[in-house]
Amino acid sequence: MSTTGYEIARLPSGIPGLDGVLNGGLPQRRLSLVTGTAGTGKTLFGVQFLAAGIARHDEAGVFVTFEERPAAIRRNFRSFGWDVATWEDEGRWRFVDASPQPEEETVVAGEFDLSSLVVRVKHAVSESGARRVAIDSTGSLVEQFASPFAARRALFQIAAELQDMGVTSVMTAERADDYGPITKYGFEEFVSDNVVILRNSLEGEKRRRTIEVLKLRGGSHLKGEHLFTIQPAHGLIVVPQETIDIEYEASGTRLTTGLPELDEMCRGGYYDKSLILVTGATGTGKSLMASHFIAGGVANGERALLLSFEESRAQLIRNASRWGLDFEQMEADGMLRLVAAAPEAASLEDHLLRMKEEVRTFAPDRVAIDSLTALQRISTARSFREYLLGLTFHIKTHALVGLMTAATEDIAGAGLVSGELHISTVSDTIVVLQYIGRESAISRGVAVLKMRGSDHDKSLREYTIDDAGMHIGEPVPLRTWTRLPEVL
Amino acid sequence: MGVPTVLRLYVVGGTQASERALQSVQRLHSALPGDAEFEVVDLRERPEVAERERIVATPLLVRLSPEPVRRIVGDLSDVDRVRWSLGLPDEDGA
Repeated sequence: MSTTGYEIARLPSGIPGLDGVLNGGLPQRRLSLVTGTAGTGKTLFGVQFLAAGIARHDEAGVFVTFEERPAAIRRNFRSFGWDVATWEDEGRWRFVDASPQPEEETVVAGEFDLSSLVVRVKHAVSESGARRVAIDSTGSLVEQFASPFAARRALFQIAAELQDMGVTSVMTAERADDYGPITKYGFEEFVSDNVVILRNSLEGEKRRRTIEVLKLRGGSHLKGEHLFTIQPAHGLIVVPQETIDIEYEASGTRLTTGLPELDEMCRGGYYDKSLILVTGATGTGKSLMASHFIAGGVANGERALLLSFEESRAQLIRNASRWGLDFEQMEADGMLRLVAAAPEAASLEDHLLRMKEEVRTFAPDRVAIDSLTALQRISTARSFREYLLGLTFHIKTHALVGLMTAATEDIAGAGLVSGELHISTVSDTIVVLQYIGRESAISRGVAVLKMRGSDHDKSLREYTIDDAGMHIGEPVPLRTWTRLPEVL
Repeated sequence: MGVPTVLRLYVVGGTQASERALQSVQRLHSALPGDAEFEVVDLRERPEVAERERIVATPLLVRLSPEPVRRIVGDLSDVDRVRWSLGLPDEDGA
């Protein structure tokens, strides 16, 4: 994040999450350029910018369209809950239709300019009292000019006039390549000091939509690419990736792990506002550990949220009852919320948004996610890392304690999970469940591998599972350990 | 007696291209039939006309009659092209 000497006034963009990236919103009374390849959501950006102004701030808007017909825009954006036609009737939305008229053939004889368009925009702005203007898009405008020089001059003319009108405006521009030149014609970006890039790239087989604020004159903003999604009832939603340079406030408060012996191993329990990772091979009891974590919190009067990507609700309730935990009762008491979702049912960004929404509406004190491995399966390394950072940020800023489970690939030992580097970096505490060969039998052991900011019991303890859940016993003598993974 | 020629020139007063177009049309007058109607509309004075006619670029010369309607955008400095588009004889009368 960079801060210049002064900060210009901002106007809410109307795009959830984006104002966080923009440190408040789009520069007021200025023009911002939004560029992107085909299908990145540029028109949606412009429509949403106006719709939010009308619906939330009672600010009228003018939409200048060079491409799509007004009729198409009225129709296409109804599904987002925006009733453009009604807003037009109310005088709060004005179209300036500059889309090509195929029935009218026009001969060019000499130089021309867009003064008539400017006259129309001014007229629409003054009649409606608009504070927001969207122009979509420059590409089709530029194509009407024989020379790029003339096109450039026309764009600068429009930009200057918009500034004089005192409106906050958004202009969209095409680009050919998600990581190529900023704009198709190479000069549109000079029209504005504020440039936002939308991307829609394929990474592996996953679509990855991001937004980046390339420049913002006279104002600070978050750098880099931030994920966004397009939601039917909301439009664009940005998930700011704010985590990297944030120092989280440390906490000294201890919260129960759900198991008295593990509390003891952790010298009193997990820290508040911390993230705990439980790893282990299949069948070691990771989901059980998460269930104890949930039930322990509820028993102490905390509200708990369990997000399962492994099992259905019914299965979760059945499993818990097998271990003597009554999830149904806890839900009935309003202390627990179980959310089961198939990992494949949504993109990672959508899963993250869903979690945020659940945290917002249910307001839990603790959250368990079972398992990261299931989510990792559907994502690329990059988007998974961004999910983790977003998750960490959200849990810490909401002062929650979060527990995540992850499967190790190595059945016999305690090898770490793939992508472990990222997971362990964000984790404050790592609890490992592993199979151990003890004498001639196989049993299971638990160890606290890492606990940030605290001393802890470093021994490996054997545990058993019965109809009352997990029971942790005495430390296993060192020589009988198979092996412990190295602490990263 | 044919259908009368009706021309309308849309300009935005004060802009260079529009001012040049107003000069260019002087050179067309001699080629126009005697009963031709010629009207100039300054859209700066009448923005509602610009909106109604959906005019984006100016200056814009429109031949409303005879049909079909012809639209010529630009400062009309290319007089030959203008004459040709309007179906008017060349300056030398050819």
